[in-house]
Amino acid sequence: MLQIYSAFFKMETSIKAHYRAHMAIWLLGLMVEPVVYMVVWINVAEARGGMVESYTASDFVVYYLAFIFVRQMGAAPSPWRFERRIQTGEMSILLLRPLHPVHGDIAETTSQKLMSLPILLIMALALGLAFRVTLNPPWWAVVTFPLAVVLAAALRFSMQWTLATAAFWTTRLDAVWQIYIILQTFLSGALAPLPLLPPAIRSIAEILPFRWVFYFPIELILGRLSPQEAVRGFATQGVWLLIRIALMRFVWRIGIKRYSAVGG
Amino acid sequence: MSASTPAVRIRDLRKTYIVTEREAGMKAALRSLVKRKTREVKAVDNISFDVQPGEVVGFLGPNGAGKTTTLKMLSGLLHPTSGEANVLGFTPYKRERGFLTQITLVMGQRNQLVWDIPAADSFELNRAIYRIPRDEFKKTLDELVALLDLTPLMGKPVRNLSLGERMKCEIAGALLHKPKVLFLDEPTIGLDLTAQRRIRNFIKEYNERHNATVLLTSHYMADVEALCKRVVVIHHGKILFDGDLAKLVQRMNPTKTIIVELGEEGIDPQRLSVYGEVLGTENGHISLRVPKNDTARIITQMLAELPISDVSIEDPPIEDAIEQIFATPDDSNVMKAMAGD
Repeated sequence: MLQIYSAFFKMETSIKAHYRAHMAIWLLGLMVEPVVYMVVWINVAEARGGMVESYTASDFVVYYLAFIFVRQMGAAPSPWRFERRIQTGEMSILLLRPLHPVHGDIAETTSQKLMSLPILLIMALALGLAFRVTLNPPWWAVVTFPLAVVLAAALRFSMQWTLATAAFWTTRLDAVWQIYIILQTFLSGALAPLPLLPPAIRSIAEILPFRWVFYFPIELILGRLSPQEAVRGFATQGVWLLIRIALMRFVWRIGIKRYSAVGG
Repeated sequence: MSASTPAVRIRDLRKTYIVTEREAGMKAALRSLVKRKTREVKAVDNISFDVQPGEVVGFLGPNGAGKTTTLKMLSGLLHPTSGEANVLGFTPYKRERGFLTQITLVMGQRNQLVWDIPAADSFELNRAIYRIPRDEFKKTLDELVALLDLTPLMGKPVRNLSLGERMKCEIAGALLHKPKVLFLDEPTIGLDLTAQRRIRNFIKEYNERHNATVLLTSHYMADVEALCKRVVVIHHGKILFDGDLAKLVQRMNPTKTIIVELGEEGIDPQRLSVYGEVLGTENGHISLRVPKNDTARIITQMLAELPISDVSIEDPPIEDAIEQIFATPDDSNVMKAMAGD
């Protein structure tokens, strides 16, 4: 399997190298939305004497820089890819290979992240310097942060891959995808740190998996979690991941049965 | 698997689809919101045949006859509605690794190679996916590169290749794991004559070298004629003919062509129309089409009545016969005649 992943990485790197400029522009574009949120919250904090709840203006900068990083490191294939695969017959070609198609997608998304990592770090550093932020997380948070990011990425990947398999049943993925994006925006900490949301929304966020995709790794690197909270967070990420992988496998199995029943 | 076990075995294989349908217009659109009309389409309707190891079989029929559906069932992409499909001892739709590593499906209109990178990089990915040992991979690739003349193409991004060049690379990519069974769905579609011939020769060579079993669909008669001794004709999901290509031609077009050279000059070729249909004159040779069963009688009569210096008898071109299959509408007399015995 290692050889297969290595071959996929080489291929994907070679493809992505063709589109370096495209990738840099795309990454810049991705920053616009969080930077807007950041500026809004900085202004709110300054208008309220420097703080909103427990967040200072500087905390908001770090929060959204961390958000940009975690979001990009957790980027996952969109469902349109599945729809296209089914429409163009690419799905049939993937199914003829003695390899589950998920491996190619994992390799592709990982290589994309590795290639965008240097650009992302430079951009984050530049924004950090521009806004003169300070970040003092405990050492254990820095050490465990990559694990939280990897688990968050796996969570997002498994969820989006499961959603994408809806293409086996419907040609109208838009609605399903919009609901998912709305829930994620409100309940993951993307729009605002969760403590700033109304209590009703906060309590929904507690029981759904979205907060473990963005909010948890961000809070960890911001140094806002106790070791106990961090351990509980990792455990919850792990449990959600197991549930999502099981769901992904189940939906894939019935999806593929349907695909082979109705034609490809 | 013993030599007598078929490589491909199909018994009473069926595939039906439920399709929704409605008439055009607003009224029909609104009605379909409440009640959807569905119809069962029999894409493949109880077909049975075997393909022996090393055999090259042409799978013929007009568009929508059920050829691709059958190939998809045999390669594991489609689940049969009923009946049995067995390839190399495997049930295709289970898509076991042992099965997938021994077959290939080449679809003339679908690409497996990655567009933005050279074919060589896609081949390397296939090597990893099929877990082909490096030495073996190199040997197979060298062989394919030589047979298909791929050397100048290997380093170019696939998007910069012509259709013919791309198809050659596609075929090489599909054969790197040395499959024992090849399902080829219109492998030469859209290619120019030279590229068609190249691919055709290659398939023949591959079959002979590796004793590979080939089930081929093609609308190009030259492909079928060059590669397939046996053909299976499918129409509206049913098998109409399974046997020698020559026999199919006889049945579809039961005529012979008599070519005569006259010893005397100045005889009007049209004078010969009393014996059969005059097809043309070339270098003093006159071609006549006659009913197959009357050939001997007509030749005897011609020899007695005309100053003939040379005579030969030929079968009609295969193209004529097969084109008739593709061009013939459903339920025609010809189709009935084919299904006849």
